[in-house]
Amino acid sequence: MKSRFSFRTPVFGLFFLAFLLRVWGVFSPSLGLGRAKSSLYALQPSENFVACLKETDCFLPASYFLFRLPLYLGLTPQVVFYWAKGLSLFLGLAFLFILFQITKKAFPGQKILPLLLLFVLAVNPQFVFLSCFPTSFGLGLTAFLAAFWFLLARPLSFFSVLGVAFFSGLTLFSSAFLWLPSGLILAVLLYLTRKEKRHFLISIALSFLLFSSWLWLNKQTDFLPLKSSLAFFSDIGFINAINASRGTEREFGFPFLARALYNKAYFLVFWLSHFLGQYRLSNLFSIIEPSDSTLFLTKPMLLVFTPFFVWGFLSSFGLLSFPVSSILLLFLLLGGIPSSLASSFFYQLPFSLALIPIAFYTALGMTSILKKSLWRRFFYLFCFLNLVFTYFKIFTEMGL
Amino acid sequence: MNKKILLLVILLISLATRFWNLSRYPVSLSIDEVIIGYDAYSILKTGKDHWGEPFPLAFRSVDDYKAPVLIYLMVPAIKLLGLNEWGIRFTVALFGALTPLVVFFLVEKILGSRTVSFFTAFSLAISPWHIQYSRASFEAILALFFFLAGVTCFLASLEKRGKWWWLSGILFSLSIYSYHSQRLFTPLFLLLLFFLFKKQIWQFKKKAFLALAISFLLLLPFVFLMVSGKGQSRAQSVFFTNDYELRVLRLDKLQKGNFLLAENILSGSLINSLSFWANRYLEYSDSSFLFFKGMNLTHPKFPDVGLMHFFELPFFVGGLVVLVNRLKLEKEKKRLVFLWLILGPLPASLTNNSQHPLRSLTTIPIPQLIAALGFWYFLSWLRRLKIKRICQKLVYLSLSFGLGLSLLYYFDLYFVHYPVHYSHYWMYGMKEIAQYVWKNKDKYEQIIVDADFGVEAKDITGIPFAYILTYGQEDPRIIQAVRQNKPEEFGFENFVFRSVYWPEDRKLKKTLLVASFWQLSPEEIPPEKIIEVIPLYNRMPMFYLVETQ
Repeated sequence: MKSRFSFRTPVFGLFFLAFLLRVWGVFSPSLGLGRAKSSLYALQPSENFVACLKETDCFLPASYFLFRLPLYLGLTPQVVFYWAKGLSLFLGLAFLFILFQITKKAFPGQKILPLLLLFVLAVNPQFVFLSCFPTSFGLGLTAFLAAFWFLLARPLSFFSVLGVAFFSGLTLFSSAFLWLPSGLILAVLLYLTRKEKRHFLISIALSFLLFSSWLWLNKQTDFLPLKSSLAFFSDIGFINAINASRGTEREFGFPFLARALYNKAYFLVFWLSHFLGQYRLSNLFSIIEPSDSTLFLTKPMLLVFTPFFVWGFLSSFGLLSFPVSSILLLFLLLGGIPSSLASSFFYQLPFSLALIPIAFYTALGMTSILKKSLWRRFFYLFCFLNLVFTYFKIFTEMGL
Repeated sequence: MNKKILLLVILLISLATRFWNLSRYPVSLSIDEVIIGYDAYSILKTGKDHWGEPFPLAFRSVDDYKAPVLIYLMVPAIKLLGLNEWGIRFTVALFGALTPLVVFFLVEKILGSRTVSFFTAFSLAISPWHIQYSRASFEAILALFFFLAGVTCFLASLEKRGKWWWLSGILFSLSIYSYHSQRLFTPLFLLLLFFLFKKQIWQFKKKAFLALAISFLLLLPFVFLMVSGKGQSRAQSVFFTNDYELRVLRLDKLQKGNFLLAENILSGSLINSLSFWANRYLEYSDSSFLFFKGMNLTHPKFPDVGLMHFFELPFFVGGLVVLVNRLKLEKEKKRLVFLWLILGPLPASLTNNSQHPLRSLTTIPIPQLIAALGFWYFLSWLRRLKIKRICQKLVYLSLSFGLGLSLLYYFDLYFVHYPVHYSHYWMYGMKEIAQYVWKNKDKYEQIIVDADFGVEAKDITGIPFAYILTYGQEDPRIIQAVRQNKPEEFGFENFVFRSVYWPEDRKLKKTLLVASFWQLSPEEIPPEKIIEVIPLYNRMPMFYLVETQ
């Protein structure tokens, strides 16, 4: 007798859950949290758009064009409001769908892993937020993944090549342009593992061409948007600290050590500390964020997923083959580089790229740990409680 | 390599890192050191603490009821070396230097590998985390020594039919008496040991019951102490619910007004507290804290050092991966390592400080073990690689260079920069004040000393009376009498300890005023009245000694 429940049932169920958690954003009166400037710019029907091109923090035409499309068709701002939100919702769900497909393709023998990954992505606060509020990063994240999906398509066709080019372009002209160097490195690695290299090579070459044209465009504004996005190295505090340490060494210690130990190379240590600090568990996982000082009301991931992420990360080197575990690790590290360069504090939005491998490790950890039914029962209970507490706070704070 | 030679190497390194210039660095005796030292001196001379209580189990000290073991163990050192920096710091430095040896045997029992044991012990011998507290008379180091020795005895006895479990019981009890964190951690850890090794414990239950009985008898006074309230005062004051951040959160919620029942349940103080605690606990796994700036030797954004050396980071991550995927070990011992790593930061996470290296010492030696495992695995992999010998030697040379640079950097930070940044937190200047006032006390009718000072604000309160007692080697009977009689103005001999207020105090006759520039501003005081200026280590003038008419 055929089973009444196939693999599709949980998939549809998870998509429905994802939709439910995101659709409320369309009805929320809030555009986004106060500092989501790109949302505000997107929806203001004024000449600000031109001014934006000169502003250091909003040289982002692609996302604005898409979010403001109804304005150019002569429709009212109210329509723009719902259009932008609806588009974010669509992009968020598309993001889930694409990642699900990529995982199925990358791990053909696994049925549970893609499902668990879908679950993690469906309920995690950061991805829910990106779907609820129109931001350039939300657009960029989906476009970035779409480009990869087309890149992994078999057989690679002209259509796929166009897809790679189009979505790379969208990524490039959104806030997610910072992610493209990481994407290029990953793409090159994937290229090395592929058999049919010709079309793959064309796709990468096209993306590279787009990236070069973007760099040329930036040159017209003296690379201002790029410089402002690499704010970490403008932090004068670090330079002053190194100079002060050198002075202390000369006055109280050994002058020859002043330059040897405290020089500009130390800036790399500061950066490395900040870069690795992004991955700290207290940054990533929470029940609810104690203060609302960050852009989002919560940390990116649910607290209940912490042990699964840790276990998944550590056991990936035993469970997966060496090339796969290495590429995943590289994805995790490359994903965090753009946000580490953008600021000297934890910049949650640009860090969204690194959350993809984090979600994957979490799902991988779940496949190992949840084999025992006793662990499953605890997990369902804590997961349910965590979801209720987290989203209750979010809904009440957002005025729903 | 011969085991004795390995142990000797570790011991020499431990002794060197902990005893070199011990009297000069840290640059001053801290509040805790000086009061512990004086209480030990008081026990030596009179059999009572400086409050007059005979052989107490909790030393009232500065109303924080200190654990007793260190104070009693310090007595012989003070007898031999005197009441000074050496006498006060010697005991903990010695136990700190011996701890890596204990760790060597402990790791050998867990992993069965002499090489990894050596690397672990070596890592601890050069660990900033352990060196810092070994040099400054922190009770936690003593507690850690007893605890690790207890675990070693326990594991060694598993193969010897429970032969030394009675000794484990004594050592665990001593650890509980030595430091507050162990009062929570040791019982939890014992439960863990019971859970993991219940078969062997049941097999030799008579020996296990004997150990339990000995521990029970030893801990009975401790139980009475906790019940009496003296043992609880410290725990109550540092519990995380007293944390400033959490209190602000609660206040914020109260100010927002009444809530629906659902809101009360779903976002009430229980959830906030739980979330707050979870955040605090997870902060102990922060790589910045562990490898870059956890020791807080300098101001934020300045070059700093973590609990472990920076070069250990890749080996630590590698060691975790090896532990999960490659290491073949009995499942009880593997679980012991993991659960110890998870349990270690628990006592620290329950206190009202974020990322406190001292309170998370209970995690030692697991991070060192993991890093050592990663390092050993890397060396094995390197040997298996088919590369030229010269390339291998280059790698060894690079590793040695990295190690040397890390050590040089750490010692430079510790001996040069740390005193410059934070000498005021070590009460630098109090010794000079004490020595000056003793030398000149006969010139004045009274010497008034103000305890408050600070660099950016008057936010530090010292205990100058303790420094004056210590450096004057004052007879403890005098201060015991003062404590008993409770005079209106606290003081002894012609020393008075209260706030200085220049507009009024300038009218006093034949008086020496000792206070910081916050109370005795050099702009307000005639220069001829300023007898002495005592700066901090960074040469910033801090304390002014001013005589009145």
